[in-house]
Amino acid sequence: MIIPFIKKDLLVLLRNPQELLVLVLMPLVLIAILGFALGGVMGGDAEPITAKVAFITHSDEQKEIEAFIEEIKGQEMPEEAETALIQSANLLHPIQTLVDDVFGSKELKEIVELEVVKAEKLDEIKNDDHYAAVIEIPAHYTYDILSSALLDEPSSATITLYKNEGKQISPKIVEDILMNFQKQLTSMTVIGKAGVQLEDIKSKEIGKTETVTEREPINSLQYYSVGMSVMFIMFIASHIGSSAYREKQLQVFNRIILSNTSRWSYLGGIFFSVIVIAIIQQAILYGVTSLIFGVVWKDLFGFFLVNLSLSFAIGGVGALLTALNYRIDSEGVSNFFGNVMVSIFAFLGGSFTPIAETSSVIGMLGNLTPNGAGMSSLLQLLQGVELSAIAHHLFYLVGFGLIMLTAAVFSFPKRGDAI
Amino acid sequence: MLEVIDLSKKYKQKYAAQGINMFLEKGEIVGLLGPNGAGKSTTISMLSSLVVPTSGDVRLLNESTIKNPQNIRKILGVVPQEIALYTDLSAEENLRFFGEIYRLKGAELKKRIEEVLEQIGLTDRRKDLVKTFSGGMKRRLNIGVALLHNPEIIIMDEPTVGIDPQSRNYILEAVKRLNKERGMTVLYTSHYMEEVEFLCDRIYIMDKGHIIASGTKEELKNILSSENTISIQVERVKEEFIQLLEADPTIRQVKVLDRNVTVIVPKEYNLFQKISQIAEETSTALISVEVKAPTLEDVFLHLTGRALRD
Repeated sequence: MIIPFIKKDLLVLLRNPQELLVLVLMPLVLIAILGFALGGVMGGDAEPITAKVAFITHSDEQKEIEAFIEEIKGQEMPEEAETALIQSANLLHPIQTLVDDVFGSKELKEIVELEVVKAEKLDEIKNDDHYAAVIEIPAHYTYDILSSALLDEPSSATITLYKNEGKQISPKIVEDILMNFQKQLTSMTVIGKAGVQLEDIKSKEIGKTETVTEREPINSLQYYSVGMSVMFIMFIASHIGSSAYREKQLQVFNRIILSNTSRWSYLGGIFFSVIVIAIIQQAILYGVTSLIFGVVWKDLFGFFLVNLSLSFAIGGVGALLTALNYRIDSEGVSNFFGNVMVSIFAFLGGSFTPIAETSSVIGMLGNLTPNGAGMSSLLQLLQGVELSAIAHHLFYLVGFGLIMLTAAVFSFPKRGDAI
Repeated sequence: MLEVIDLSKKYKQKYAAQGINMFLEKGEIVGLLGPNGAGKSTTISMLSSLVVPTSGDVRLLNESTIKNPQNIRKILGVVPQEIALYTDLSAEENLRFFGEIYRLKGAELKKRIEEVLEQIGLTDRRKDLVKTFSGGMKRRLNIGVALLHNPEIIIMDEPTVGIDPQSRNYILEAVKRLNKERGMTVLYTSHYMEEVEFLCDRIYIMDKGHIIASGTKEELKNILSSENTISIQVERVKEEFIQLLEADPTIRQVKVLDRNVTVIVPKEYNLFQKISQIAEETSTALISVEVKAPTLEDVFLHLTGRALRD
């Protein structure tokens, strides 16, 4: 008895281009506009930072270390002290450390591409926009650092950094790296003066490393594909609620009742029609966004389950809107839902912007809306979260649908009421 | 077959229908005649089990339909006053949907759709969307939907409202055929007296929620057996002319419609002389004065003092 209603509602919808525009074309247009216009706002949109940095050194590190050692040997100092200083001098290779250990580390290699350049090219490179920064190591840098660190002599060693002002972030990153390097060098120097072997410090681990669950970032096209889909699914409830009321006005409902179809079958027909149309709508929207915008769902089973639960909840809303329209004998309830409530729900649910991040209360309220719960679930699925982690949202959506359906059954006018 | 006993429906403080008693015998066409707002649609809604009456009973084969409406719904087809169709669906799609909710399936459903399309003359337009139909075609399909499940009784609520004379004749002939060829019992409501007169074996006349007269056409017209209906056609209706006619104590009713003035007077009273005199006094140019056989319209006028289409 439900199938004729679903067939009829689908046919009526297919013959109604205005409704189709609202339910299918408009969300796709909005996904495209918002997704591209707000690209870069979402974490997943961030382009990887790559900085090309030129490295020019006037210092011959090995020769300067040897010169320093010769100088130590030339001084008349106790043998033990001389040996300790020579050992420390052989360990401290500030330029090599900067190039190999700092810029050569796995993490920084992904961000900074260090290119060792001959000193004569400095002027040329300073005007080359391909470089985010130029690091210039002065002559006698290593010797000065060793003298300062081990012999407590005043240091004139200064690294010069030329920043390309045309680049916004990368020169700042290079500057921070150098500052941090300088700090570490200073602390090692202080520790060296305190009589601690530098070798001991290097080999010690610093604290404990914890691993947190890593989620894939969401880009704006993914975000708005979900945001607009869960928003526009609600218009189906409003559309069917209004169509059902027109059936009453035209006495089609009376005809249905006279066929010995119960009111509950009719309401069931509305409920399932909304579910079927919602599933089709979501399939079209996500299908198109997958083909055009590359929004791909890895966990298809989870994706289907969330959309089924969301459609179930919206089916309940559609049934309730129909029942209330019939009760108050006006299309007003479904119109109010479509014109006002959908926007409020969409805002709270985060369809326009991730508002839940601003406050936990708004986040909680958002998740109480069917679209909000659906959106949270779908975004988490996109981030690679397990289905079990979003099960509470699915239970909520099914519960929400059942509550709406129960409310619809109680508010639908009974035989003998003025309908 | 179907009996209505003291049926009333009260909405808030007002009775839409009160103390309605009527019956339908198998195979007859019964008319329910009355002006707009007389309570015809409310009576039909109670009779067809859509509205629960405030009091009274509707009995099908001596069994109350109020508590168990399923039985009457099985044998009843209702043609509502509105075009109760999906205008975005084709004629065939409409018939299929309503057939399916009447639990018709497969070959039976297909056969019934073909038969009904044939009966209502829409076979060649079966694939067209209803919104492209003329008013008359929509009305025919509106009737067709009510015939799908082969009902024994069909209730038609003003099925010819707002259509052209050709479509109206088609519908009236179709109703006659259904009654003659299939023995269908018909309850036909209208405020068009000529339709009821053409179709119906028996007639109930309703006004202001009550049945004010009932019987065969002849029985109803006999109400006016002691009176004559005189139709006066004038060049221009003057207020003084009407006032003087109304002031005459022997004239029972005066009704003006365009340039026609209808008066009801006792048969023994010769009004010609009086009419000429009043026309002369008020300088009203008479075109014709005619004594007519009473119509149901005249009966209604006699009973209520108002015309059916007031």
